[in-house]
Amino acid sequence: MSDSKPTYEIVLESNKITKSWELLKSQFPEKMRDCELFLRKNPEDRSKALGLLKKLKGPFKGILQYDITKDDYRVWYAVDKKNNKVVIKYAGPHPD
Amino acid sequence: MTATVFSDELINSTQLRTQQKRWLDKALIKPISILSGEKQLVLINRDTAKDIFAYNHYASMVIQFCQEQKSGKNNESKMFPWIKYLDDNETMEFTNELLTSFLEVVQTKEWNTLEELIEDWIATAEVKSHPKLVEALLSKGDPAEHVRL
Repeated sequence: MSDSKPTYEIVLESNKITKSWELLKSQFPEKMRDCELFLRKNPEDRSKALGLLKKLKGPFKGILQYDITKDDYRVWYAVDKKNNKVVIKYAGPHPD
Repeated sequence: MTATVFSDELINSTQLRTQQKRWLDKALIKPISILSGEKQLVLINRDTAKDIFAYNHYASMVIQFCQEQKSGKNNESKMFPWIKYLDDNETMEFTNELLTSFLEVVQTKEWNTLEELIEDWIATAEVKSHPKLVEALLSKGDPAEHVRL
């Protein structure tokens, strides 16, 4: 990873996400560490998260999905390049 | 036409046995077919073989999907059953992107870009199947409410 790259600040979109974010961190500590590192350094670079990053389409253009696990645990976020922020919009399994 | 496109060189098993290195080196550049009675084998560069298989796989996929779409049932597909979660405009967008990407990768041979496109749309369809998630992702959000980690 190049040092010249901007580092992104990770923010949760609202306090509603705090609980699910912390839950993910306690359930999958290593995977969430990898996820946080990725979001801070390369939030849009597929090559740095092979098979884990999806770029949503249609009405969700601009939203990205990082797969924490193979099954159902995901993080959805948007990248605010202007302010160097990654905004977490939802974290956890698909809601029922 | 297939024979012309394939543009292989024909040899017999004795030629291969006596000049193995020569034919193996040649096979890296263009296919070498070995004829032994009724049996026919071909030596081919693995990357070329991979491209032929990938082309066949994705061409079948795209053609089958286009046929399904031609039948008029826009949001039904055996090839991509998850498109049932997409609306007509999104299905059209997916179809256009699939065709454009397929035509590009035929030239570039970067088959993973086609796979990524499909995975992106699968993820999109999955999201659309969960209304609560759709609501959360489409909300504009207020920067004043952002929580720093």
